[in-house]
Amino acid sequence: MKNFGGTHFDGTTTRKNPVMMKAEGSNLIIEPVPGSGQTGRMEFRLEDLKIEPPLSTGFRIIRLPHPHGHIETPELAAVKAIEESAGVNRAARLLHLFESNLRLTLLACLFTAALIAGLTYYGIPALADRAAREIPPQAAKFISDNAVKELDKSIFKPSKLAEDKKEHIREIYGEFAEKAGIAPSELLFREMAGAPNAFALPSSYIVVTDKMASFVESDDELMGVLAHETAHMAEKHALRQILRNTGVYLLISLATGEVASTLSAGAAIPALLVESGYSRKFEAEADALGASLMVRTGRTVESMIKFLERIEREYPQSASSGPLSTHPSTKSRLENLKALR
Amino acid sequence: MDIGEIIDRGFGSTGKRRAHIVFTGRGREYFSVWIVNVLLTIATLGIYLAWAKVRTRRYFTWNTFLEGHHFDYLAGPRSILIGHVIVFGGMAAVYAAREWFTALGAVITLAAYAAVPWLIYKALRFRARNTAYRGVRFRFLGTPGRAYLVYGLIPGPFLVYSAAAAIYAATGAEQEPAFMTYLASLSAILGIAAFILYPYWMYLRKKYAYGNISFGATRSIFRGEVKFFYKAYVKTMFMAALAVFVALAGVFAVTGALVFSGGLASGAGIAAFLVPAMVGAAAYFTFEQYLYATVTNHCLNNLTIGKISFSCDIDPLRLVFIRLTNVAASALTLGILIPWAVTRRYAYVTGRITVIGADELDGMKAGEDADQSAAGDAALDYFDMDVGW
Repeated sequence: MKNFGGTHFDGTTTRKNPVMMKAEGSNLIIEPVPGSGQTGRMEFRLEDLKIEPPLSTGFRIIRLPHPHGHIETPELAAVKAIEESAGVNRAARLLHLFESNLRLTLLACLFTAALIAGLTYYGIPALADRAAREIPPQAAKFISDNAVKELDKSIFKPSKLAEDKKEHIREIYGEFAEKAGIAPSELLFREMAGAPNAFALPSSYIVVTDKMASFVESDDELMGVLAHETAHMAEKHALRQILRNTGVYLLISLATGEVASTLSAGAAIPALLVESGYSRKFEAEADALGASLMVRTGRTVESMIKFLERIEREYPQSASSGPLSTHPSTKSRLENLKALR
Repeated sequence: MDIGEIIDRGFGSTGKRRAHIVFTGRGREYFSVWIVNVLLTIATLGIYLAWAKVRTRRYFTWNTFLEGHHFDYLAGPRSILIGHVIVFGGMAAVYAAREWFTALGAVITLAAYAAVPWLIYKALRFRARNTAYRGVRFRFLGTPGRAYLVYGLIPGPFLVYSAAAAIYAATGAEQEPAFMTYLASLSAILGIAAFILYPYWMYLRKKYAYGNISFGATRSIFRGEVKFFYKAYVKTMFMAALAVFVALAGVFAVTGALVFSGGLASGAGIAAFLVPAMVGAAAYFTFEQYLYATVTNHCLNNLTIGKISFSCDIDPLRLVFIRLTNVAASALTLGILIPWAVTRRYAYVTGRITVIGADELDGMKAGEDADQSAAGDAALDYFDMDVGW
């Protein structure tokens, strides 16, 4: 092999020494450049050297065994030849190929996009749903109990509903669950500000607000709401949503290589979009399953439709539909329900 | 000798030769490195992250030149990987412990926080030791004890109080009004104290970082002043308030235009989301970057390493602008423009740093070797803490 030139930094001072190098057999010989005033020939076995992987800089670095410092050289081809003959840095050189070739870089982009899309639409949901199935009911109840405690301290107030009204609701819900062949969840009654609401807490409780109890015009309508929430419960939507969101958060962290940096805050918008997407899908599923439960228990989908129309009239959604909302647009929900009549 | 040198020697305070820091990296180039990093990191569920970090830091140090020589990053991915495993394992253990022993949650979190000063100390050592220039490594000579003082003792009372308050609130006990007012006033006092002490704490942190580095055998001297930090803080608060005002005006102009053009419903919806987001972002980034610029200028201007001194003149408003546009660009392109954003900011900041006394750079000696541990370094990246330099 030919001689090639470089600079030696001995690691003990900032002084640099110009040197000439040659690969001979399985060794690298380093000699000071004649006339540089340096003396001292060095010889190392190639396997004792660390040739740093290439980056798109105009130099390569070869680290010598401690305490001899390192060599730098602009002779990229020469170093590449040594790497190839010694069979080192194969993976790193492949990597660098992807980095330095525009077409391969674009290929890497495509792979990355495909990987992220695959994980977002298939991988994360599949894993999250699997995990949700594995979580024992006691653990889910534990989470819900904590959630109820927190909510009771903040936005919940004790229910002002009459006791016999509560009993009645519990009774017809019990019948409903029995006819539908689903284990009934415990009903909790609370007062909450804002629009009439009912929601399912991970796998254990359905909360009904006073406003909701008084807003419904019939037992049928109330069951429609509870059917929707029961569907959420049966399909473990809340738990799956939490796990999916965690997955998305982890994916973003991996992609940006850091946790919660201000730059990844910019990448958090796609996270919100994805999470809202998951949520809308669950809401649509709950509508469909709820409707079928209504039919199975001898009630009709009509009451769900009437309820949705009325609540849209009296409490129109402000941030109605759009990629960031958690529910599908009321229009599409009504369309889907009407198709199930 | 050109005019610049004549002026430097004649009118310059020390007549020493100045050298600028030059960044030769480019967004398009770094993009290639970055996208491959992202791909492999996701594909390996994060294991490759250690290698990715090394490549990233090498890309930046190898493209940062001073006097025709570049800096170097020496860490090996394996030690960083070990650091990641330790931190990840530790965090998982803490989360698990908090879930299963909720009552002790605050206590366990406090115990975890007790490890932070040590991790910071380790991170500073690791980062310094693995950075080199012309073959001579930097070193960090601060002590763990001092780290505990700066990162433990000072924030300590505030953390303990918050934890105690959290535990107390968790018990949900009935509280007498008198006791509640006592608690409220105590919280207010501590809050005000924290607000007042913050610049002093910043000074201590910067002093710990800048005052304890050495390039090889040459130790640094940090002459920063506390009163400057207070001045910078006040100026920054003012700037952040101004930014909030501008952001509010801007958002209302936009939503007003929307409402006017008839998109009332969507306008109101968007406004409800936009207003807090934009205003919050404007305030946060303005505060963060303006303070960083002013403080970094001061720290570098008052730093000497042997006979070498520094001059740094980052324009705070320009840095704020860079950050805001970077975040907007990254968000709008779903993160694709991140490599350009990062190189742009790095190029700007390093471009404002001048080394005075460049002739001294030849013939500086290396220092004694020391141990290294990557656990602290990984913890820093994991938490994105603003420590050190």
